[in-house]
Amino acid sequence: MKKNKTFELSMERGDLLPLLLMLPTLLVVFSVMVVPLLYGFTLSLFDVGFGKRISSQAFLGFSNYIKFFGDTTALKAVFNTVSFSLGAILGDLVLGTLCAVFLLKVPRFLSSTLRPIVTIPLLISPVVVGLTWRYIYDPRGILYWILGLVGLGIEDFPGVTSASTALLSTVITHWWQVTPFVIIVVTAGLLAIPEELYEAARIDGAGAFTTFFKITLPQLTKVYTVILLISGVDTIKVFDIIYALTGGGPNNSSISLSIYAYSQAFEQSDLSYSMAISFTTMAITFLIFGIPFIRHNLAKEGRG
Amino acid sequence: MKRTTKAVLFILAMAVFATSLGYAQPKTNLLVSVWAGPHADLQKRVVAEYKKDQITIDDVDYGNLKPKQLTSFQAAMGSGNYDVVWVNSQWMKEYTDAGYLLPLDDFIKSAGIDMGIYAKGLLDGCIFNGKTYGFPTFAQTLIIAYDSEAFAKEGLKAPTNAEELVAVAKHFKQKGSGIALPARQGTAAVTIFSQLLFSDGGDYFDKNGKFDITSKEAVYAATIYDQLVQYAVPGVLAWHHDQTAEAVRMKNAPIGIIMSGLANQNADPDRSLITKTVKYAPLAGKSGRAAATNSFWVWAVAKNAKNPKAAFDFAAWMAGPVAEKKQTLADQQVSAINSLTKDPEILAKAPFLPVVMEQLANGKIDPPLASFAKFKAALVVSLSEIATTDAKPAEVLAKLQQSMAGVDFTK
Repeated sequence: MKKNKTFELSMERGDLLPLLLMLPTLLVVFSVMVVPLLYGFTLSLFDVGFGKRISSQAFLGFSNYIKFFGDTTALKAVFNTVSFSLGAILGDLVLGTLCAVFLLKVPRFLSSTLRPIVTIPLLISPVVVGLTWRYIYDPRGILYWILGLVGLGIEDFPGVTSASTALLSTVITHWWQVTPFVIIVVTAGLLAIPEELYEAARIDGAGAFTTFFKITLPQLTKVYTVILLISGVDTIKVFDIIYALTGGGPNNSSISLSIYAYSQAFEQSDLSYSMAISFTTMAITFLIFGIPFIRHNLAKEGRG
Repeated sequence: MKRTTKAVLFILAMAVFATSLGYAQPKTNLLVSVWAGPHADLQKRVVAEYKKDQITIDDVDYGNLKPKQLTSFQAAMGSGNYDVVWVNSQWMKEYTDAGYLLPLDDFIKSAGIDMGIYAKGLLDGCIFNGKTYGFPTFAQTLIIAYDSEAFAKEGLKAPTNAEELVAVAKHFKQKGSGIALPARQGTAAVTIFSQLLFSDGGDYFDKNGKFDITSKEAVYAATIYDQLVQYAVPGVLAWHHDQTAEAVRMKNAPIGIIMSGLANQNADPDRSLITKTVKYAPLAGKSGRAAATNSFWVWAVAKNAKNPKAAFDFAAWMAGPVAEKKQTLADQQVSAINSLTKDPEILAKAPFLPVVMEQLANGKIDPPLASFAKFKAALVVSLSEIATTDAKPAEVLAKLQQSMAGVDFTK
């Protein structure tokens, strides 16, 4: 008869060593992530503002979360945030891939010169990017000067001054800043594709498009997954670019969840509702990007 | 003298010196929070003359000023928190209700300061529950700035009421320019609306104190705002105060509704093309009467200041006649000290001052209520809707009135 194995931790054997080594990190993560998260969630269940303390009379339960789903501005913010995120990621991927492929095809001297230049926007703070583009979108700015050369004006593309194009304008600004990141990552992915695959494709008589769609794109799947996750989390919490560029207007057409949460906390002094908005944003992020990521990892482990 | 005697005398002298050092009043390091901008640069120059304590100015852009002050109020005393705060008058009620500011009455009494030197309408905005929480300063209001040369060329006169203002804007729009105004979704648009509303004797509340944003004065103010946006230079829907003032200064717009705090830049030859031709007019309502939404700043002492007396002394000095006159002369700031607004030396430097004072004299302060902040946030969006869509102002205001049905305007 087999004896049941007993789980014993022995200091002598060094069983506790991994735990001890991880303890400082765990403590830091717990105190700077878990504690504030729990505190924030607690705040969302009470009616708390600056100068108002948590008390039993201020307990609201899940009222702030219920209020969120009946709040037209909040729902508009959800729509804008998701639209911004999808538009931004799609553009980043398409433009980034095209540029990366282009930079690999041009002569080495040209690509070595262009690559550092195109990465410059990545080094600029998003707030500065927003403020810079505010001048670009100004009727006296460079955009309308260029449009003027082809006979177009502010009436044709009102930019940040119209509810119909304000969000798109912020997405374009995001593309300008984040596409270089995609170029760098996709370039690394492209260089990792074995040359033999292209050689085989050439022997089989595959054209450029067939090669791109049958070899390049499938080989870049892992790279795209990483970009999708990083950009997804980054764009769903977008604040700085929109805040600097439009402030959420006109007519709330570009308001994001983060901007709405900020205004509730610091303009309305409603910390609780602001926290509820932030937690809902977190839940949306998890639903859109977290679950696919977990599924992707599980599938990978299954394959492994 | 013997060597021993010399040594004893030397030791005694050193002891006396050391004792005197010990008794000397140590300087307090005061951290002061102000709104960043040209006025803050000037404040730093003026503060350099304050020798009593060590002052460090932390100037922060408007959007981040209140969040940073609120965070500082929550901090423990002496943990790098603000001692003196420059507070927007609109935030005073919230700050005093939360107990973030120190009542200054005892300090004022013992220092013998005559608070009667300050404009009553502004000083009232510093008093809550009978206690004085600060010194008013840096009053601001929206005024009309125009290029008299452009007006003369078109044979136009300065607008004296809202309808004339719309007519002038329309005239220039037809000529290819238009009026400049801060119509970006934000509080600047609310200030225009409020000033037009107050100018015609309107208010957010009816005679019975009931909230009413659908009054005929309110609809009129919203309609004028809508028309002004229609006859504005392109791009105003993305402009705040700075861009508006710049457009007027750089002759991109022959007329504009600008914040008085930025009017001094019109006389700066490095920044302005209208130094010799700029003139000012009140932003009047239908009747020609002009009233401001009284907006000003307050020098106040944080409750968690490490040395409240030192903090008070500094706040009182900064808001006192000497420092205020220096700032007014240097930067044409509108002081809350009555006598300064009649000072000929100041009037020569700030030609817009009579217009500002006329509006401030008729002005009102927005109700300092938490519920009003909620309404104001909604009004910001409603005015943006009026400016950017074909929606009728009366309908938008009716919708706004309906959305405020559940708001308790007594809190």
